[in-house]
Amino acid sequence: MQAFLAIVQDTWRQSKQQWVFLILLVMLGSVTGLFCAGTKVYRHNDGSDEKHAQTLIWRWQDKPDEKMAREDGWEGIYANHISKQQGRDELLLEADKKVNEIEEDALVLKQEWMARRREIGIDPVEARFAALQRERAAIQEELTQAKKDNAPEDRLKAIQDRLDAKSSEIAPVETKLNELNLQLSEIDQRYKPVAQRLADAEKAKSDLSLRLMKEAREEVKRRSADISDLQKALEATLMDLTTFLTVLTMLGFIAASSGYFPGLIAQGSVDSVLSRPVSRLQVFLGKYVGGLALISAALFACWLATFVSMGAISGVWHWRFFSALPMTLLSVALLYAIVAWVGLMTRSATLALVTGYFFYLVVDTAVSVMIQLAPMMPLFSDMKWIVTLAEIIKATFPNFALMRASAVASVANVPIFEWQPILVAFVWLGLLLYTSYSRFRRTDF
Amino acid sequence: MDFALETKGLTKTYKRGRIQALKALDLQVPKGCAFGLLGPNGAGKSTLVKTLLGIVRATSGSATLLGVDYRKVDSRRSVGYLPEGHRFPSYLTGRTLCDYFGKLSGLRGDELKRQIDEKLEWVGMKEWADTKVSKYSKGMAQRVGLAQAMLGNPQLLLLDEPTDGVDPVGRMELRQVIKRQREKGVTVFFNSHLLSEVEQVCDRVAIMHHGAILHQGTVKELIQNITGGQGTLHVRFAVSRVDEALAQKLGTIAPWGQVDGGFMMTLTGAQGITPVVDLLREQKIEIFAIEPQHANLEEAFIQLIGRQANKSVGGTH
Repeated sequence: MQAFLAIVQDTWRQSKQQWVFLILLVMLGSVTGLFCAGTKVYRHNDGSDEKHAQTLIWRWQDKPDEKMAREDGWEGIYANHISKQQGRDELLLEADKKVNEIEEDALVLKQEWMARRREIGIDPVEARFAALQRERAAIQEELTQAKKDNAPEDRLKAIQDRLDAKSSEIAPVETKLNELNLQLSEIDQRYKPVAQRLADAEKAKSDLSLRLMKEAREEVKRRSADISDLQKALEATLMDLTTFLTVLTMLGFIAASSGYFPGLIAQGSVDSVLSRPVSRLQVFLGKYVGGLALISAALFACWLATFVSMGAISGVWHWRFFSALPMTLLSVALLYAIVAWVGLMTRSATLALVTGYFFYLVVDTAVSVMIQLAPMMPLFSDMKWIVTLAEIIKATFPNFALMRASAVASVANVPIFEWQPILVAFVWLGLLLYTSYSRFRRTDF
Repeated sequence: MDFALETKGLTKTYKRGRIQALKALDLQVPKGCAFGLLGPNGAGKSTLVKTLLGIVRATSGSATLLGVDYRKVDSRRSVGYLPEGHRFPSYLTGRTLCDYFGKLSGLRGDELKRQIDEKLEWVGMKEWADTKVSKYSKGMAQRVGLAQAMLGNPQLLLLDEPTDGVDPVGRMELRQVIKRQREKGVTVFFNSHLLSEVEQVCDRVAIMHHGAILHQGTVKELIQNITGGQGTLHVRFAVSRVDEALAQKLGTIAPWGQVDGGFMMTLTGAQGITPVVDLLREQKIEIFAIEPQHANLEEAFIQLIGRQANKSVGGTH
């Protein structure tokens, strides 16, 4: 145990020398401080009942912004979850598909209309007609101005003559244009009902969306009737803070931890460690847990400071806030395991750093889009294989966005937590640590 | 006899057996002695030490460190190690480095602090204890390396090129430290290229070449066995020019050549001295020195490695 703690302490010494780790600590402290010191309780004083009498606002706000009220945000998150859970999203998707189908019909007609226009040569006639009308309007303007200026009779007559001539010039072009438009009218006739259907479908979709959201909101109200606005606002604040802290930690810790394992196994450095009466498992776990312990301590300090500050500010001691901490740490542990794996396999801190960011910023975003957005997009939702692929990826590939959502959800006093991303993360964490350790155990240094 | 270190058929191969770093090595290091392992670059000296400490995994064979199977973590409990070409983490100072390795060796509390101060003082680094390792010269880093190896008062010290990069005065001081360890009964296993150093410090040696032990025993035995115990005689003479006839005659007696301002002939044993002196007198050449040279480790080492090289060349053709 002592050897293990010595390695943990060494990791701390190593981290203290890294400006990136210190910056991470400062940023975590700053964000936590901003949320805690920047939040105050607002009392409505409008005769609201006890549950709606108070909320939380930013210290620099005069009163809550109706659209941005924190309790409203809380209800929105809950409503979204309920909608998803009760299949309301599928109803919306169906409506979306219907609109999409009609749009496709309209597009076909539009293409036919365009082809017909080209065929009958209406475009140059339309252009000629527009040009002549502009010329006539200019002459008309000139005539009006001349009359205003009391121009001599002969000048007025000359302008009037030009106007008449232009009108005569326009007449045949207008006739021709009308004839051509008549040829297009058959397509127009067919388009009208489609356009109507499209408008109806879009309205139906919009109505459905509003109705579903209203229903979800009503259900949220019903389910959370015993939760005060202050509690909801506090939970929403803590959810936002969890999101900020998680993202910051992930971005900073990739940089901070990328050198831990390559530094440990550097030629000339690892020999002295392995020559001591410690097993390779202790060395490996000491370094891994050491790195994790440091960031855990920093995050725990943030969590504790927030819990105490928010409790003191609002009078609500929200213990569930601590349940987001293990979820956040799991995300950090998984990302650290990826960085450590690359570091051990390649012995390069730079490669570990680049891979860490690539995985978190590019791969994870792509996976998020694939498993969250693709099935919801009408274009893709028709392709069964994309939906199936999204399901397979969701069940087998770790996704930090989903894990963060689970961490954030665990703060709320309502059951909106999802287990699947957590289970997938645990499996990956186990695999990464096992393969990393196997490599470390078998390597000759 | 009790051995501090013993290997039996210890083998290490790389690239699926194509490269043999250690060839079924049998080696015994008695407890309490200072043992020097010699060998040219690439002989496998560092690989042997790393294998014994579990840093490199053996392909086959067995070994014990202080009687404990080398594969067990406990075998390293009373062993100190100074690696060759070490690069201690740059964020550590001499003191924190010793603190880290001391804790890894199981030391704690006041005993750890006492030992850190003691060992740093022994190697003359107490004054620089709180300076970052990255600021140390090569010699200072070696001294701190030796200090960390002695933490926990190990019974077996494995030192890989311990005086590498250290100035002559520093080398003498480190030799004193190692000597003190020996006096306390610590077995010192010494890897070095500096044969004179090994000769001064060690009482037993082994010579390694291409992964195999060519010879092991006391320094005296080694010199006796390889050189036949005979020293050499250097005959120095001054002449403005050696003509072809004289050169031929000298060549039939022993090797000779030009050295700073004169010529020197090297004779093995005293038998050839009379004909040389007669020849030089006959030619009226001034002899200004006849110097007896004692057989030493360096000579024995060069002869042994030379013979091996000749054997392998002969074997090749």
